[in-house]
Amino acid sequence: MTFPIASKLLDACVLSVISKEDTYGYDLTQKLGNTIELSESTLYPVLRRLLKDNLLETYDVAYDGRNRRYYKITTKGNELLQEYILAWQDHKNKIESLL
Amino acid sequence: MTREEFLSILEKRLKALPKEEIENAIAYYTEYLSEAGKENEQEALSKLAPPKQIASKLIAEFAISDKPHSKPVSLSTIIWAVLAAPIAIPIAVTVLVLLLSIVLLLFTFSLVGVVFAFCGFLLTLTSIPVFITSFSTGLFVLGSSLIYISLGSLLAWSLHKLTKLTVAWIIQIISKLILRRSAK
Repeated sequence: MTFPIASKLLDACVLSVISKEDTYGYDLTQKLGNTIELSESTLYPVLRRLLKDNLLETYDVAYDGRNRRYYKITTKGNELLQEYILAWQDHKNKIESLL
Repeated sequence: MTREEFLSILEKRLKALPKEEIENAIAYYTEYLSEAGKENEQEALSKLAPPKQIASKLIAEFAISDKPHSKPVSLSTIIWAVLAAPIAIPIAVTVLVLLLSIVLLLFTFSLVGVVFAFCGFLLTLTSIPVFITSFSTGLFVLGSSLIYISLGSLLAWSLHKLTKLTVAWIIQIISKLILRRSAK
């Protein structure tokens, strides 16, 4: 990819995907990986930080004899996501006016 | 690199972090690799960043985001504490000794009450021979000895209560101070 994804933008993408449907680590990587390249910054540190900031929460589901940790967006996370979306729209329009 | 190698390198590199953090990270990557499935394991591993890199990123994040939670004591507080120590410590000792002497004083007074009441009791005994010589003087001595007993026991009882209350009050204040200090 030509343009690197800034960390806030990655946060926004993660929050957005999870806000549509609760999901687990591997599935989330697949969903994001279709659009953004996750090679250098793996997802776990991002999820860990979002959890620490109470933007996400987790619950465990038994699956196939092992554990799947699902991630779910919190109210606080949703509020921040709405802010990110507005900020992104603004940013996108500005860049597009130049390109 | 195999799955076991990946996980063991990650675990070793994360040693500096709290146990909970290590467990969470290992659980995440174990789950991730299990989801990928045995047949896609190599591909999944190659897509992940090297464990060394993941570990240093996590440690860096931990250092930035989690350290400020334990508020460091500011330099000015330390300087003030050091400068105040020659005065503050003697003052604290003085206050403690003062409180202790108040308690002891109250306790002594209650003992005085006990002695008073005991004297009154002895006086009632001495009144018996007095009754033989003069009935009215005997009555007087008996009466005053009863006053001694009642006043003495009243003094002893009330000061004993007061001593108890004061000790409880001092303990309460000191424990409150200590609790408030540790809550910060």
